[in-house]
Amino acid sequence: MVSYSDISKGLNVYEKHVADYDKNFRQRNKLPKNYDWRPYRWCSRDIVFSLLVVKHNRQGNYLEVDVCLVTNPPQYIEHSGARVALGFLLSEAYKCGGSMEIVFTGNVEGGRVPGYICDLALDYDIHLKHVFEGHITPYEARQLYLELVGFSPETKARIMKLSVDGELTPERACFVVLGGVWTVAEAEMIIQSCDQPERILTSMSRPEDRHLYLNDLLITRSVVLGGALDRKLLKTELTENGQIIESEDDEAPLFIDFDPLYMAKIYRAETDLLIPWLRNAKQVLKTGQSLVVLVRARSDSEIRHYFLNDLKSLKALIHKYHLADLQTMICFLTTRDFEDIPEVQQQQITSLLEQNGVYLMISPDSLSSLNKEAIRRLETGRLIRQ
Amino acid sequence: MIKTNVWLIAFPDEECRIERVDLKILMQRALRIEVRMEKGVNLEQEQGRYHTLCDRIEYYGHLIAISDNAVVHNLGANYLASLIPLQKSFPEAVKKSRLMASFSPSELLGRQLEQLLDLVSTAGLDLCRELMPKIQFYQQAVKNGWNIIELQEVISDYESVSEINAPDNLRDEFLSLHVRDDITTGADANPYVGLRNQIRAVVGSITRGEPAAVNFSDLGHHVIAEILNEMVYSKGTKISVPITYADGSQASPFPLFCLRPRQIESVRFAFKDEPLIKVGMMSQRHPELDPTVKIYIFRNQEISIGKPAGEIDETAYRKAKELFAKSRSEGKYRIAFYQTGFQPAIVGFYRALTEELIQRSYSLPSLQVTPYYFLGENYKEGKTWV
Repeated sequence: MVSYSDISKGLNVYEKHVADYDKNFRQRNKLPKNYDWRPYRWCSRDIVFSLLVVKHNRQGNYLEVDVCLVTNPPQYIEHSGARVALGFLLSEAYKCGGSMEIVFTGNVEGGRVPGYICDLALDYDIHLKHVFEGHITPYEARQLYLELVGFSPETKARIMKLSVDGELTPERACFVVLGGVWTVAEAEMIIQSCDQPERILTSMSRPEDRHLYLNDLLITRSVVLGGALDRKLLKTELTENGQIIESEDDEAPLFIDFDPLYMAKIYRAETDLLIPWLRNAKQVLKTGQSLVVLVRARSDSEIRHYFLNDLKSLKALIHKYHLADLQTMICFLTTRDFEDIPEVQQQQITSLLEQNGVYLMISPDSLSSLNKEAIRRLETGRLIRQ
Repeated sequence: MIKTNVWLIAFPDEECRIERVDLKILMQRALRIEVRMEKGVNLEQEQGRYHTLCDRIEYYGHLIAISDNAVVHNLGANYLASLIPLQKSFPEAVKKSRLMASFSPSELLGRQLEQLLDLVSTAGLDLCRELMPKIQFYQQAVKNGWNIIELQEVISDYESVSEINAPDNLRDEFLSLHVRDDITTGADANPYVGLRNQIRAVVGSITRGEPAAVNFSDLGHHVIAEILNEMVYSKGTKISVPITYADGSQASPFPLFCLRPRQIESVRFAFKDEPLIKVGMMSQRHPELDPTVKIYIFRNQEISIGKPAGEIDETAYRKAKELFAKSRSEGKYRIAFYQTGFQPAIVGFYRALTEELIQRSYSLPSLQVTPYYFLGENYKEGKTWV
């Protein structure tokens, strides 16, 4: 536990940094540089998880932390405050282009690595060697970062393999998630299903190399479509003062998995859920039931050209999942461009799907909006440290 | 893992008019953009236009593919992967043969086929095995005067198996990758010493095989130039250090310990009759320098392009390199370089200068650059590069 005096001292230092920041930057309408002290407050709704003040130390090329106050509110998962703080510190260290070393000043619990962060590291089975010197080394930072993001063991193994092969740094794979380019589920989809995920995660292909760029785009837009379905299923609504509001931190109890061989999303509900975007049907995913969705972000002309191949994949998918559990629902998710297919062909496709017990799921997004989002993500990835 | 099929769609000129669109016109426009992208002017806009046009061409390609008037051939799921090693090893030949392009009008097909055959003879049959069916198809298309569109289809590859090592071995391998595991001590407050220590630490890390990079962002421009000069002219084993910037972008490595100081007498003698040419660093940034300098090395418009620092560094490097190469045939140059602050441009400039001086190091001194920095009230002379 952190002592009262440490908390009190931390709060005083934090207040001083906020006042300095206000005077030097906010009042002068200026933005701070990486090497200026910057105070941050991490909250969800009205709960504060962490107060941090950081800067990039130019001489030592590390991230220096002058305030690191953490709380772990009991309503949230264990180590929630430490996770938020450490996730930010590691991402900031990466973003500033430093060595990934993190150094805590004497104002942080007398110059040691904060206790809550040490507890979290212990939970991950990572031994920090310089706790009382107040340093986290780049080697330790790498392991902490990989554990912190919340990748599945299969994805972690793939990242390690890519790292051992020199194709992708684990820090980059973690940053694209915690830096907000991809969600964990989307990044897993890329890492597990692609032959060369590093091409997408490092935004390596240039538009003039059309074949490579197009391939990245085709995969990315399916990933974006899968992510949109995740968000739609996870979204919960709260009632506050008689008004419905969307909760930032409360999600439907849903287990999300992925089948890399088919590029199919797998959902298992822990409560009854209305399945969205179904065409001509209303279905509820019952508690404990699984939903397998073959994701294909295609234009109307692509659907017409490739549907029979997709049907083959669907049949194999049905065979695989119905063998394990006959109650598993199988869906075929595509874009709103489906509506542009001539009526007769639409009916042919729908009846072929019905014959095989597959539900047609049509996203409200058109392919062009998915493409735009996919390009935005690839371009954002280009601006991030490799 | 998922795979990608590449489809070749061949069709006669009569099929180029679909609805109110003329594919020939779309292809001609896209070809003109390919030429403009080569020049690199307004690259982002050109890339955007190229993508839009290719997207339209491919869309209609799918419609043609499902009509009865096209010849369709599937190159299979290994074709796309085979392009990557070819592009890595023979980038120029790949570009000439438009191997990465997704369309080819009938008028261009013959020339493109010749270039493809040239690529095969340069790269060898082993690397080009997957290209042979495409070449045969192109030969048929040339004979019949067809146009070609190349399409991609992302497919499930449910027969493949995961090729990842057993997680235990992989984790050990991953953990034994070289990453710094010590802590920085005594990060000096003096920026010169700080940068020197940082570069030395990076040299130490990369010598041990650990990934590391020098971060030049947020440092005074005079500090960068002075310390680079010291490191370039110091004794030691030649090495190139990776460069990163605070926005996360990376630039080409910088060569260190690669020049030997020349004897003062020989330099004096070589330049005794040469006039000192005062040169500014970048136009439009410090107009008060206009009466002092004869010319600026960089045009602000060309360098301040709102791109990641790594790309600005590369642009500055290319411009400076061109300039130095051109100056070789023009005799000796004694330059007073009025340096102003823009870190990536400075690093790019000195990288080009270092490489130029390496090239000239076996002949008598013919290029001398002395930086001048505005420190306080007037310009002060820095260390000379010769």
